[in-house]
Amino acid sequence: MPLLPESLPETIFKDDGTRLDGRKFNELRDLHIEVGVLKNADGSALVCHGKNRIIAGAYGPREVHPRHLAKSDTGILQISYRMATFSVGERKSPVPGRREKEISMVVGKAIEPVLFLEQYPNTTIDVFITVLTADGGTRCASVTAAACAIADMGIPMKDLVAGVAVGKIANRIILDVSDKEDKWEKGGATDMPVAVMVNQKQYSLLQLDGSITVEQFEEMLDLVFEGGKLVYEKQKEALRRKYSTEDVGR
Amino acid sequence: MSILHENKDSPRDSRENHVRGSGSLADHASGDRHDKELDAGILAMESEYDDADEEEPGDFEDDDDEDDFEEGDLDEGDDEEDDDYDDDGAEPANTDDDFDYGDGDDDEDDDDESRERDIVVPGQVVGKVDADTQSGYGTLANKDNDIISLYIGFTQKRGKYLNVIPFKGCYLPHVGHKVIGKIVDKNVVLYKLDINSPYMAILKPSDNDRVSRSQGGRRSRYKKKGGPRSRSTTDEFDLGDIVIAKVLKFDRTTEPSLTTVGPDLGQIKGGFLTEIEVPKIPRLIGKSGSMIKLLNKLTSCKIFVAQNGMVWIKGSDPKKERVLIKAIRKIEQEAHTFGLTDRVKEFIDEQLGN
Repeated sequence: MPLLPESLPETIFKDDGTRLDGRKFNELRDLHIEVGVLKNADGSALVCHGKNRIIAGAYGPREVHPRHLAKSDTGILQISYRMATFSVGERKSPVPGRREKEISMVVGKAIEPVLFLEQYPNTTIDVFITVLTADGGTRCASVTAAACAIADMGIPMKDLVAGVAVGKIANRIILDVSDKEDKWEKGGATDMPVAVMVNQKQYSLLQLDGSITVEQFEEMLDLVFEGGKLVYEKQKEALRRKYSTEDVGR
Repeated sequence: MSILHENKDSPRDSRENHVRGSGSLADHASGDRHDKELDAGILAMESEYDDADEEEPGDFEDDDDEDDFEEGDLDEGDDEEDDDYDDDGAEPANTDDDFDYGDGDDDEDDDDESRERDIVVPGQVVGKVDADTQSGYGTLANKDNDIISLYIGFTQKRGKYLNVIPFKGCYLPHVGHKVIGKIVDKNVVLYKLDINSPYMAILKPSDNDRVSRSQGGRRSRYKKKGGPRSRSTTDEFDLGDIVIAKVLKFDRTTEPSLTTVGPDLGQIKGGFLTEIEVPKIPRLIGKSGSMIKLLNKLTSCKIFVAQNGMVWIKGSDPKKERVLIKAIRKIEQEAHTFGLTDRVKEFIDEQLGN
């Protein structure tokens, strides 16, 4: 941790209207997805979203332990989101905190609608998500990673789920809020993480922290759907890349 | 879940293992409950491929009647005790057609051998429901009449059904399937088997007894001599033994139960056990068994492809066994390409130095 905290710039938008990292209001950070990165997992994905590095491993369907969690009529989806101790500036305690439990739950709820868990009664699908480096928007990137890992596992899915955030800073609506932008506004920017099922044209996660008008909300929702499409294209490309024959010798 | 434990230090593919014990194949069959010796060269899945002649070559076996995505319908064959291929020398009448698997009708594409099919991902719209297109296996039709894919795989049109054949998938037991499992636990009345599926399978000797009786077997050979009243004890197999078994019953509420009474079933000894992704099994069998017959002919190994993705091979020449495992890996990796049978043939010839 530097002795002096990183100073925040005076203005969050440059004179030409672009953001600090040169993005337009409707642009994502660099997004790269790699599927099948873990040999011992049934499905896996690495998501590099801006400076975020998130790795997800999916296992199953398999027997549920402890047994009392099993459901006879349906399978269950268990998500575990953890941040590595070195993922943030100051060492993070490895003990799962309130925030990690919340994100685990929220990612699970975002993925569940696309799965057919009732086909696998008495089993569990486990997804372990580890944030290696955090740079804002990890819950959205975790949704993206988990969806790719589960798709890689080969169980039926109605759609892929793309996670992307939208926010309001200095009264302007921007896509994919980064850590710096989030911290710029006192008390935190208005931030809305959304999980989009692009082909279904539905949202499976929507959280909102801050205050906005109804018009702004609708504008944000439209913008975030466009962002979801961009993420979906990357997911699609990554999954295809893994299964094309040029790449089989991994 | 794999019944093969991984050995990271091994230079070999971690998905293959020696089967413990080197006894003769006929050992297990000496008991009276086995009708015949385990001498099958190719078996297990062949029965449903016998009538595949009218189907498009180059395609995975599938069920035309399916219009939902119920699991397991890739292997729609009835419970048959079909022994057609038990004789290694058995050749079907239409030998010429067999090696067409893979290129078949796609005449224009023949020069580009490794041409791939289009890969689709979950949620992708692969077609539209209309007069001659229906949603088939691995797809759903949504309210806009779009057909969407449920898997990462490739599309295939079979009759009026548009299917998506996945690249990967877990094995779900179905009644009548022949599976290879490993005994991982046992008590006085039952064995538990790992069958490469989300569910642990159960093998009860008392079930075996019942199945045997229903097939006209004797109740017990000990009965009159004052021995145990029945053979329903778990002395026959030990932990770690590999057995070929048939699924007797399975539903959503109970674990699958198995039987080892029947042709080709019982403990296996010697040889190698390897694994293949379940959706790719039809490709390993080939159209009316063409691929498996090719492998059998070129490597002179016995091959048993179980429906849970376990493949047991046994040959007299270790070098040929190695080549066969490599060939199976190649089939698995290139299952979605055209002209595979020919390339596998070339590959094996090259590896064997012919």
